[in-house]
Amino acid sequence: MEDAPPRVSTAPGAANDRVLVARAQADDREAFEELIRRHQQRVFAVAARILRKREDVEDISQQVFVKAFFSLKRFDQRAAFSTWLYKITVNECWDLLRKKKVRPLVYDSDLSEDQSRQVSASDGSRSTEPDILDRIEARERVDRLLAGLDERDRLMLILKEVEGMSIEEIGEVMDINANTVKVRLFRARKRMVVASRQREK
Amino acid sequence: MSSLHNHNESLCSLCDRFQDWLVDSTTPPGGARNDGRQFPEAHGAGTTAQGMSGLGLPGTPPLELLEGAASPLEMAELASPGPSVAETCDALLGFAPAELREHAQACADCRDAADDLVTLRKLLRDLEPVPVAGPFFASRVMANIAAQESVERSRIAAVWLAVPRFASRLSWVAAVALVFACGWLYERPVTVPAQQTASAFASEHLFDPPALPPNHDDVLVSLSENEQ
Repeated sequence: MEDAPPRVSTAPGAANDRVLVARAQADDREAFEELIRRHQQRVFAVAARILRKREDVEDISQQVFVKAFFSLKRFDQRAAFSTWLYKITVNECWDLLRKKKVRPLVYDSDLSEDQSRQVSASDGSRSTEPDILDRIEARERVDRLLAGLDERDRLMLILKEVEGMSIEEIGEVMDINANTVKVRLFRARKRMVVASRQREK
Repeated sequence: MSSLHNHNESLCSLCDRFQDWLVDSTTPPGGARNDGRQFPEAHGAGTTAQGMSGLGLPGTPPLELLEGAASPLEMAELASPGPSVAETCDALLGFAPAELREHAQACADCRDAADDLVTLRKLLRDLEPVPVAGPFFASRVMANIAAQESVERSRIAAVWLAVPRFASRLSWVAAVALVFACGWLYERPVTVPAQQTASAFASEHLFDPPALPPNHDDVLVSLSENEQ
């Protein structure tokens, strides 16, 4: 199991990224491959939080790196490479969702009773431990709570609280002012917590 | 205590500063409990934002890890509920600068905001883990890039290959057109329209020298004829 990559702005490898990007811009394939290895998991994570379907996540992640490779010459390193990459990821994911014209996530509540039972059975069949079933339920609960948020707010919340991005990075990735990010995050957090407390009651 | 803190919310700079600090804060790592005891590392308050990222472990061990736990004791530890929101919140505030900490103790709004943040982070621990990139993902991407490059190269090559083929066809078409044009020019009947003839005649005689005066003999002949 790999360790999670640290926040980009403070990452010790951030400076190395610049070197690797410069080498990749000079047609060094190995440097680009190294960049892929460094960022693949975060790209996977961001894509997975938006798309959910494993096949889509893998395809989009590949697409992101291919697109990054062919656009790398135009990347002037004013932003961090990772931020630029996440921006491509988010845009690619939203493009895919737009093309498919589907809702990004399918929740248990959207399924019929039979389907829901099948899903639960397939999820729970690997173990009969009650705490694992509790955990599955907890996941579904969080998914439902997140589904109550606006798509952009949900992504913002996840990028901040799960992926550990800074406000500035989120602003760059989503093309929003940092103050707007703060306000929207605050509201989204509040809405989710209120909804959670209501559910508990 | 909170009654002592009477402020206009919009004007309170401490509230703003606290909110900013809160947004940038991470929930204290597993060890930070008020009373000096440790929270369970794998499942406790160790939900720093970074800790939750990466392999899709939002502070919660994945099912595989729970299933693979060696002993019931480990299972119980991993699945333990962890500290309460209030405990985690206290621990979080422990990391705040003294001024902000005191403010949070007095300001109900800021305390609520901290509670909300901790609650949210606890909720997000339960998010489903994200899929992990396979070990050959980078190689696959590079192969994909190479394939796209070769497609692009063959597309460009196809354009250049088309040029000679197109050139030979063009020369054939040009030769045939030339033969037909020559044949037509050779066989063309020479007919000039009447109007064009008159105007051409006029233009031809426009710059002719003036006609010579009539011969004197001719004049005499014509006079003698008139007399007769």
